[in-house]
Amino acid sequence: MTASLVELTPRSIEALADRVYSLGVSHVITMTPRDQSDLVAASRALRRLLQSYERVAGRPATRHSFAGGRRLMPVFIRTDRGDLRLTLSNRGEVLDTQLAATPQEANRVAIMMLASRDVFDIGDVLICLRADGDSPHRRGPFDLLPPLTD
Amino acid sequence: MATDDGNTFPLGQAEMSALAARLRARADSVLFRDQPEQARDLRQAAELIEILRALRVGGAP
Repeated sequence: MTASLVELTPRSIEALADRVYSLGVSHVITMTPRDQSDLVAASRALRRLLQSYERVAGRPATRHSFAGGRRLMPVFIRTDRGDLRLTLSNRGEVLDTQLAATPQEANRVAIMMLASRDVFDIGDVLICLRADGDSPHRRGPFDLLPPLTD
Repeated sequence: MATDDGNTFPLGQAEMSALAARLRARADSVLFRDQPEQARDLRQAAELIEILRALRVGGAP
């Protein structure tokens, strides 16, 4: 086992599963369908590993793992406060959203998000917030601006 | 406690091993040379999948 794995906690594994899933369903990162399928499968495998941990430990690995005895759908659950979410939107409509682990990665992802679009239109907003924060459409600074008109 | 009947994760031992190998290969590819964070994620995911595979070999359901 590598030193990096020794440092992993159930929450960080869950965050890793989220990031791998996000990468697998990304529309801005060029991958073959098989590569993307592999990433989604890898995310599921990580969640299966967490379930194995829960079975052995007899308790949820993370605070999000179970809700009222029911298993939650294992997608877009954010627990790692260091993760960032980039959201490209226009007048409240989310055009694309991506996750990043670090500000440096967020910078690259933001550039890719912009580069992948044919146009950057009036009203388009790209914003970076903590992934575990609320929706940018409820807390973002652009909510303070008046609605755009054509 | 919730149970896992295998339907939610149908990969077998060989498939998991192959999946881990593909993730490592992609992490080591030149495509991820300028994205070390994502390459690290893929390597960690590959190692954890190998751990999961080992757990299942050891008798875990």
